[in-house]
Amino acid sequence: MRRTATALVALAVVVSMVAAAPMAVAGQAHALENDDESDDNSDVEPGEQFAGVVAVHESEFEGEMDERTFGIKIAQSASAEAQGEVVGEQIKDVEQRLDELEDRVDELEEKRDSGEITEGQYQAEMAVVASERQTAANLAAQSEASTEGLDEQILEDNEIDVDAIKTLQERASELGGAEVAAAAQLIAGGSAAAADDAGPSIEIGVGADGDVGVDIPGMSDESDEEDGTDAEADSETEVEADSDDDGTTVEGESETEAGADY
Amino acid sequence: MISNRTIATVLAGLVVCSLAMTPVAGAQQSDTEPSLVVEVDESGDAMVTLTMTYDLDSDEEADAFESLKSDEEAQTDALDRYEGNMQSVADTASDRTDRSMAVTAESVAVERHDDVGVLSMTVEWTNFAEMDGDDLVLTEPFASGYETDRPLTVVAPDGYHVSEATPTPDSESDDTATWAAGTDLDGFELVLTADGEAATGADETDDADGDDSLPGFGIGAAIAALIGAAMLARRR
Repeated sequence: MRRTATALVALAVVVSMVAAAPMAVAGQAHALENDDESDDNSDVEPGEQFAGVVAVHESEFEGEMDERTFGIKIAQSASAEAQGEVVGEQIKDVEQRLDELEDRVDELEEKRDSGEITEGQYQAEMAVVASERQTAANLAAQSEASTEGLDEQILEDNEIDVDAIKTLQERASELGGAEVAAAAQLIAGGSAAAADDAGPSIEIGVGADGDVGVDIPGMSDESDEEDGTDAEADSETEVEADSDDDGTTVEGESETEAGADY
Repeated sequence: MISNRTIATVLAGLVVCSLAMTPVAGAQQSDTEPSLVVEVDESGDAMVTLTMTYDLDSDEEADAFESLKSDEEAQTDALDRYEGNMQSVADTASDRTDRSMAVTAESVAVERHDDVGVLSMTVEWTNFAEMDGDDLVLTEPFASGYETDRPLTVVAPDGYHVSEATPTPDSESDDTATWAAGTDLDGFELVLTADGEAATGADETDDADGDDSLPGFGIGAAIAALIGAAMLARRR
C-alpha cells in the first residue's frame, strides 16, 4: 500500500525520533493525564475552542505539506551538494519558525495577563503553537537524518552543524513549556491523543550504500518506479464537471472514540 | 481563437456545476478557498465540513500534495483527529446548551484544483441545532468567541429558510447564510424556519435578499467555469 520513494535499502537508523505524526499535536500532552472530557474546559468557551480546533487543523495540514515537501526535495536531490543545500535551507527555516513561535508565546502571555485576550483565546492560540512546534521538531529531526552521508565539506559549505540541529530539536520540545502541551490537550484532545502512538509519516534514513533514502507514503518514485500516483498535472481532469465529489474520498468508519487506534 | 465548441463546453460545464450545487449552494461556494460549512438537516443534526487549502507554488509542493492524495492512511488519520477534536468541542458545547451532541467521522476528500491543494473533512454532528417548534435554532459553538480566518456558511435543510440571523450575514440566499472570514460571531443566533411558516422574529436579514438569491450561480459557479476554461486552455 505504501510506496517507497527512493529505495529504502535496509534502513539503518535515524527514523526521526520526534517524527511522531506530522499532522499531530503535542507529544507530551498525555503526561497531563487529563480526562479528555470537558471537565477542565471551564475557562474555555465552546466558540473559542471551535476556533482553536479549526486553527490547529489548518496548522497540521500545513505541517504535513511542509514535511512532505522537504522529503521530496531530499529524495529528488541530484547530488550530495544539492542535498546539502536543501538541508542547510531547511535548518534556517526551522530556526526562523522557532524564533517566531517563541515571540508569539511571549506575546500571548502578555495579552492574556493584560486582559487583551481571554483565557480561552489564549489556550486556543497555544494549541496552535503546540501544533507548529511539532512541525518544527519534525523538520529538525528530518534535517538531522538528511545530514547522514554528507561529507564535512558539504556540511561546512552549507553552514550545517549537526549538534546545532539537535539543539533546535530541544528548543522545539521545550518551547512554551508544559502550558503548550496542556493547551493542546484542552483544545484539541483528538490531536493530542493521536500524537501519543502515531508513527512517522515520512521516514528519512541511510541505506547500506551510504545514500539517504526517503519514504514518503503515497509518493511514487519517478526515477525508478512508475505507477498510479504520477504527480503530473493531468490529475486536474478528475476535477472536471462534478465539483461535488471528486478526488480521493475516504469514507469514515463509525468509530467515535477520540483519537482512535492509530 | 476560442472555438464554439469550447464556449459550448464551458457553458455546459457552468450549467452542470450550477445544477449540481443548487442543493448545497453554500457547501460549494468556492472549491479553492478555506471554509467551514454547516449543512443542517430537519432534525437538527448537521454535516460540518472544514475545508483547508495549500498553494502549490513549486513542483515539490505539487508532488507533496499528490503523495498526500494517494496516502489514504494519512487522510484517515486526519479525519480521526478531526472527529476527536470536534467531539471535544461538542462536549464543551453540550455543557453550555444542555443538549447531548455526538460527532461521527463522515468523509475526507483530497482534491487538487490547478495550483491549489484542497483538503476537506466532514463529520456528522447530532443536535447541532435546537428544535424549537417549526424552527431550528443555532447558537453554540459559534456564539461564544468563534472567530476564524475563514468564512462560515450555514445551509438550511430542504424546505427551510433563514428567518433570523445575528450578526447579519455578509451574503445570503433563502436557505444559505455566510459570514465573512474574521467576523466576530459573539452572540451568534441563526433561526431556520420551515417554509410556509411565518418568521418568528425580526427579519433583519431581508434586506440582504436579492444579492445572492440564485443559489449555485454564485462564486462557486464562476470558479467552476474558470477551472473548466483553464483546463480546456491547458489541453490545447
